[in-house]
Amino acid sequence: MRYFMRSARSLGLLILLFVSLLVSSFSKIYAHSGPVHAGDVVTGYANKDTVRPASGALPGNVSNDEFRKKALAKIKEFQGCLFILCDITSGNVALDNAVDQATSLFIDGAIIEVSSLHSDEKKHLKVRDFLEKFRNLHYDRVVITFSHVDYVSNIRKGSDGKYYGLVSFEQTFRGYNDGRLVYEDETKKTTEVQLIVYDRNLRGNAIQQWDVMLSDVEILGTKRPKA
Amino acid sequence: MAKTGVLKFLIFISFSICHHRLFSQVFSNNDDAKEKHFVYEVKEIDEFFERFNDERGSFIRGVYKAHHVKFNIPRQRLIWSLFNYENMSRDSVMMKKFISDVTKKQKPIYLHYYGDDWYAELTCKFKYNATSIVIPVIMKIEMTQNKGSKWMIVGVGSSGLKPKIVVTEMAQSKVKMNIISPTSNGTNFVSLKRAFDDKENLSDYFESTDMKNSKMLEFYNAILNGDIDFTDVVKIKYHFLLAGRWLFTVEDFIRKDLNSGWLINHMEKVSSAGMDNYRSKLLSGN
Repeated sequence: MRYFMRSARSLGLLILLFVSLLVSSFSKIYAHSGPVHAGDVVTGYANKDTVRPASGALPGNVSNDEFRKKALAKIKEFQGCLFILCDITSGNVALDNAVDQATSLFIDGAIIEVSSLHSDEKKHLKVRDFLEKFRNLHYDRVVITFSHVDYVSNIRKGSDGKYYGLVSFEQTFRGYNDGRLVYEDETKKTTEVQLIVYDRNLRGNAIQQWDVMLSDVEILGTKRPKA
Repeated sequence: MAKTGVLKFLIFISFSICHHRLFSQVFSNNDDAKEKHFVYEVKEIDEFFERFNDERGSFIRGVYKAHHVKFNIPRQRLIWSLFNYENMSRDSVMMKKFISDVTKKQKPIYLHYYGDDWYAELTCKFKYNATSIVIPVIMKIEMTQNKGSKWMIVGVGSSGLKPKIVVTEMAQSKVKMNIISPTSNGTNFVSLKRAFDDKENLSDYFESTDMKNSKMLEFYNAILNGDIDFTDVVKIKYHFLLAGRWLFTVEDFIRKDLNSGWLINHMEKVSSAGMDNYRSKLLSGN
């Protein structure tokens, strides 16, 4: 009898612990998370942290939301160029165009840092050099997948008058030869983006326009490459 | 007696499993799990600020909104999730006191990106006489008159360089528009490479009032004269000096657990004098 009482007490304790964990856990919200998509990024970014120092609207009547959407569109355009570069059916002209198009998305002098958790070595490359290396990979087939959700940071005004932000996403790269997976890596990519405002002459009138350019990139290998 | 022992063992195992599943969740090799990890990882120091302050436009709130799920996580829980559980006990008295202090209803405490209460400590690698050396560089976000901001070098640690001070005062830069952008932290301060190559405007990147510091002057001279050549930033650690009584450091923990990314790895409560002492040591590179 005493044994059953003790067992019941212990079982009660177990249930209490379990319930307490479920109720108190931050993790309970995981249950709600399902697939997320690029279009699901945060909108309406009213943020005291951003707005206070760089008071007022962004230049060229650009809203924070427009800036963020454009930044993501540029990232997607860059990813599109990477798809062309690793498609073995692409001809030389298409490859040249993809390199030019991808390079034009970046500001002059942008640096791409490539590193891995499993190595101390960090490489710094110019954008065009990075793309040329990418273009010359020797696989029969390359599959690149990007995370469906991107992190876009607050927009911050620099003391140089430009506006800056960060976009982070993850990428998986798989290279196949003779139908076999011969190389695989996972990377976290963070790209700095800049809002550029410029005047465009339209029938003698200067009209202020804006664009988002990509800047420095950090590419960090998060998984030991499978080769 | 033996059966009781077995039961207790089962309870322990069950608790351990629940504990592991809920707090140290690891993603398996599938896309959904990877995305879940991406959502919960503190990806940038910006996101650390968002979560700490429970900002209305935070990334995590955005994800909930996108899934039409009501966001009902109190700020206490968000802050609690910002600790590195591998180094700090989740139930520590210090953690509870801290969370209770910063979330007080009457006078909550927030982090300010443009405030004076945080610094980045960069472990920078340089080439020096055919070898590699590391020098700690302390940086801070500085506001300017146009309500913009930039990262500035405000302190330098011991370098092991032979003292060779050629220039005793910084040269005025020709173009005053070169900056280390306020988001450079997100790309591992790779822009330092550009800054240190820009000898003509080198002074733009240093806090001029700190140039009386001999270590800073030695460092400035070594870069200006090409004695050292910047290679990369090996590691970043952020120091927060909050509300005159809380010190904590934040580092990047890249791992498969959901408790990953930029997390609080060390914390202590100090007196006002202790806070001043910490700041002074940090800036002088000791």
